Amino acid sequence: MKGLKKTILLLSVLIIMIFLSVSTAFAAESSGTEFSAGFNLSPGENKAVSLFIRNDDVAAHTYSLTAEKSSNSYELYFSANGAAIKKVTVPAGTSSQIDLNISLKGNASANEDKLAVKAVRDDGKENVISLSIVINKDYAISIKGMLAKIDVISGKSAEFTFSVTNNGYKDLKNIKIKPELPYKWFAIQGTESTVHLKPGETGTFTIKVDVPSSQVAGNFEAKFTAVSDEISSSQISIPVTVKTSSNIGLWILGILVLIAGFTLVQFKRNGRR
Amino acid sequence: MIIEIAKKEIRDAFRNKLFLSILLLLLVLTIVSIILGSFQVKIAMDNYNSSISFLQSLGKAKLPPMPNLNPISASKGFVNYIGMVGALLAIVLGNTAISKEHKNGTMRLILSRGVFRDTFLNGKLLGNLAILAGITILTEIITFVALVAIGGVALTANDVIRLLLFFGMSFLYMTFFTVLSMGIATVSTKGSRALLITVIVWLVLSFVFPQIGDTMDMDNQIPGGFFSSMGMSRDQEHQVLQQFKFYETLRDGVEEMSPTKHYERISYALLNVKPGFETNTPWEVVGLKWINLLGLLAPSIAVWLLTYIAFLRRENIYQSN
Repeated sequence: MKGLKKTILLLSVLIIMIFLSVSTAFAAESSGTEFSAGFNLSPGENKAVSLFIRNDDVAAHTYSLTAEKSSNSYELYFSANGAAIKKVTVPAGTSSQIDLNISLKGNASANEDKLAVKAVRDDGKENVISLSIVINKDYAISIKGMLAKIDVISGKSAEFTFSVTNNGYKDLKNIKIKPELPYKWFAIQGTESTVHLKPGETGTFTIKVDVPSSQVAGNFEAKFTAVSDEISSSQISIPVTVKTSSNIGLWILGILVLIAGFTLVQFKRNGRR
Repeated sequence: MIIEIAKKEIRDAFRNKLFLSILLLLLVLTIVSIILGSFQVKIAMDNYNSSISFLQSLGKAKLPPMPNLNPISASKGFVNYIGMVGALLAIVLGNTAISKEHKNGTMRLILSRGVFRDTFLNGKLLGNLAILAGITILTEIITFVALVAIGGVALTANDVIRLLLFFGMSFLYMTFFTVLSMGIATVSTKGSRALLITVIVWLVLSFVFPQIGDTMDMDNQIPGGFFSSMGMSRDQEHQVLQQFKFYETLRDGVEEMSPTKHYERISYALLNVKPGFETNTPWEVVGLKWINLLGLLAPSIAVWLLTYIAFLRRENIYQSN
């Protein structure tokens, strides 16, 4: 009787342990099974959620990964060992860890959301894990460019002005703008200035960016993120059109006029021969 | 008289075996490159169409939009061929135009018959430009036919204008080397020496100067980038570059002196090979890249004016070689 009790106790512990461990793991063999797990996500936060795919089959299989059926819109991709992936091959009888990298895109329409992550095996067997996402609105920040598009002459500076709003329920400290600029473009003013914003408050920032004179004319994108001690906003892109300074053209035309003048003088002096 | 000289120039060009060989090489390369490019477009189209049919057979209502196939980029290879073979062809044309008259003694004969020196040069240039325009139009027709017949794509009005402008730039690029070659042949007393000098100038302008621009860039000194290899922040990178401002200006200036670089820049923008110009109209692209257009036009005009001066002041024309 004592032995039976011990066995039942052991079995119960084992069942609880298995139940807890499957929360973020696919059981690749059980077709159509759904498991669930959850995490919190703040607007602007980039989160990596680890998932495990176990292949209990006797042969290696490739799994195609997708994520769908969410109310909010997210920017997401899967990665393994730091490299972005869409498929993962799992050897027979082993597990592979993959990361779901996720961040909220735009404003959240639902504070409690679900995301179905699907792993479809190469033989068609499908496994789904339903992830519950709770949008944490304690800290939320948004950034908006004052101008939709900027034109700048190469070799000159461009000024970008932004409004940054604290959309969360708590104060945001040391907010500053973090630029991501094309090659050889440098932010020369405004990246060091910081502000604190109370919930609902909006602050403005002006960043001055030097565009090198070597920059060939074309359309480029300057990307900016508002970063506080607590959170960072989603990145915004501002299209920048670089034009060539007309001074160069005037110099070239000047030289041409000079040569043309010299040619005329030669014709006048020597006559048509 | 200009027209007569131009007509003779065209007739003579088609008797020049070296010119015909290079022309044949250029046409073969163009045809192969355009056909391969058109097949790539066709494969991309077929892939898209088959995936659409598959999704429709599954009953999916939401179908993916057609990817941007950018059919005009099929001419990408043509930029390189014109950059090398087209320039050589233009050099041979320009050199032969002057040196053959020297060699045969016909220059003295023509000029002694009341033909002004500038008229002589203008007739020669007109004839050569007509040949280059003919080659450009021929390759243009081949491109359009291949894209529609092999690629199976319907070109938009913007695509057609972009392609026409691109071929216009190719014509201007070849014109520069014809003018340069004629100019050097006018100054030099020996045709072979003039040809050699022109080829050296072409090599410097087309290969050495652009290479100086690329390889002398500080960040290109180490694979993976000098600044990131040194673990420098953007601020430190800025500080270093500030110290080398003159060097950077000089490096860029050298690169800007290459007509090949100007031709590549405007062509890649028109053909959408270089990203960032997809939403612009063809005329907006030309408006943005006006410096490259000027970089193709201005040297030709300058060299041509200098050729006038050199030819006008030359006193040894009536001396035998």
